Amino acid sequence: MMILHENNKAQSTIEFTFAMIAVMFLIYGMVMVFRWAGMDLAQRRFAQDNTLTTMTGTDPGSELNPDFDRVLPMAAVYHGKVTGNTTQ
Amino acid sequence: MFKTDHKKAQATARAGQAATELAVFGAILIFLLGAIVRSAASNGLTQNQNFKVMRMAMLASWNSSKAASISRNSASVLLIEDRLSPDFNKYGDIDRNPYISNGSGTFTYELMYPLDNDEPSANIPLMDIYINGQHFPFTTASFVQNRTLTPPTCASDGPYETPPLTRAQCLQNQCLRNQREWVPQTINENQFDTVVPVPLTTTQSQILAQESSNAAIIFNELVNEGILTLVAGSTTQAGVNAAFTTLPAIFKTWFKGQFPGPDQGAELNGIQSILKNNRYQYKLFYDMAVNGTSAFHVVPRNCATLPCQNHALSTDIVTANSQGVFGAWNNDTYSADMMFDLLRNKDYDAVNQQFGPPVTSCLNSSSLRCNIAWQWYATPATTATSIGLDASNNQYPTYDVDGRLKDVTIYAIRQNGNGTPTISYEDSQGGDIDGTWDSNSCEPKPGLLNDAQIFTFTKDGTYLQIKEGQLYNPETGQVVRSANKRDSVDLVQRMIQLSNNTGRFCNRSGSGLCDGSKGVSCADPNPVELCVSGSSSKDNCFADNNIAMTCYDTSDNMLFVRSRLEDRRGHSWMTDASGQLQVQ
Repeated sequence: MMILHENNKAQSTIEFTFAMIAVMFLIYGMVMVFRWAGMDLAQRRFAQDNTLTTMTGTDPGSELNPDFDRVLPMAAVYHGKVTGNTTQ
Repeated sequence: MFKTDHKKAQATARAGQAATELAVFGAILIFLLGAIVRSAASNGLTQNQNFKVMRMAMLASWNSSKAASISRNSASVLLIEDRLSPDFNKYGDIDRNPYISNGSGTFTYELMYPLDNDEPSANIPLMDIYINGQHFPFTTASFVQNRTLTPPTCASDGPYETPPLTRAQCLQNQCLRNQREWVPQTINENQFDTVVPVPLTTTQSQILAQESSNAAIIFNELVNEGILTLVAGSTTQAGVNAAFTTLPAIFKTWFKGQFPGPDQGAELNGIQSILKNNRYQYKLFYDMAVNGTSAFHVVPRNCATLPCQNHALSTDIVTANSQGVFGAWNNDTYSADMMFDLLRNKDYDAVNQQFGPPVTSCLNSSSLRCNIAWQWYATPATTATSIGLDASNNQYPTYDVDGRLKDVTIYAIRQNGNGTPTISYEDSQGGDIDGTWDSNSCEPKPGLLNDAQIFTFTKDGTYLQIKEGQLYNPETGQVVRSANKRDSVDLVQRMIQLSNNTGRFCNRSGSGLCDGSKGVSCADPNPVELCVSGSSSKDNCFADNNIAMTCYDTSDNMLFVRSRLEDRRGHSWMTDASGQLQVQ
């Protein structure tokens, strides 16, 4: 009995510790994904409004470049090339 | 002891429970994250495309304006892209989702610039469709210059009224409508000025040289009658001008003196025969206007004479009246029926059923005839004034000129000696795409069809190849390798039904050429790769050699847009597994 009891000692704490590390990564990733989902739409809207009111040179057509947008990096784990810095 | 073993077993069973739960819930969470990423990526693409297509439309309008063209004053752009959808299966992204956005914009300083009669080619309206990068500029109208309208020859069947109509029945209805709306007349003295238009610069010899012309026939008739004196060999204008400028009065006097009443002698038959053989005729142009109630009344266009006076239309414009006179415009009991015959099929029983019988007064009347707003009215197409055309003030009227129940915008009109009009007009039904299509149109509904197809072609069997062979078996303790690659082409086919073959895509052998006069710029050339007539198994868009090409079938005006989307992707992961635990 005693041995069994000693074997269970702090098991939940240890498991919680390891699990929490993984959970924290998951939560971090989830937060970053949610952040990316919203920020991507918002920054595109911002870029849209910004470029529509910024004329380059004397040609108003410069405000209407159809390829004005870049995808916001998701950066859920690190700043990779999966979603970032490529034009759509 | 037994109890102790049981608890030990319980403890052993609980070992790693948190890790197991974490794995289960973590997997669910990661799945949800994947779904969110996929959905967010789709939303991002949609948003980007909506912004992009609006910019493309405005930019097209602006560039058109800079080029002094009004083709894209109000630009319309349809953007279609088949994008890979983010996916988390072992083969990577496979699914393609169509993203379709439509944008329109006006960014021009030529908004009020009218289409001029002498510069239509570069100014006919265009709409743009981009399908996976291929740009198709479609005209939505055509410009017809100097078309001489003539009474059509129709078969005797019809009209057909029970829908759905076949194309042949629909065209027959149009033909009958057009034929019925020509007004042939025996000329009378009041119209003599119009029937015999003699330019003051015309000499006697020039008139007589045109033996079959009205002027020459009547001139000779009057010479024979002694009204005019033929100056033999005269090449001067003086005598002719003097004679013809005073001819109406002379003719009236002579005619009345000779024929005080109808059917007075052989001369009358002779002159009537001449006049009937060269009888005056004109086309009725139709338009719809609010004219049904006193509250919504339009002033008739400049038309001081019947039939458009008071919008009193005769019911039957081809059958002569009891005196044998054509075009007897009068307010008989049918006079208003034409106005309510919305399909102009001359089915006045149907008109009576729909709108009730004719009424003599709309005061205190509940008749639907007095209250329906839109009605047809007709105008004789004789002069610019008669149809309300005033180019100097940019007044270009719209009429149905040939029984299609669709208006065209008229820019010029002239009339030959017997009343036949020649007109120049912008035809909204004559472009690649008829934006005015409705159930009265005889052609199939134009535009992008619903059915799209996708075919995938692979190269050398590398499609979805996965390499996890024995050479790299993890049991050997060397490396773990996961590699796949794909080398394929997705062929996406879409179909666009065109209204007319305007010759803009298939007016030459080969393709990819430009024709600035037809709206296909050299900077953005014609993307149609092949044109076929569909007449044989090899001469159609589905023959072996044609299946991958963007193809236009002129037999039914169907454009097959084939997008070839190359997909060359893959991954190769290699993990050094030496020294790690091995499966025994």
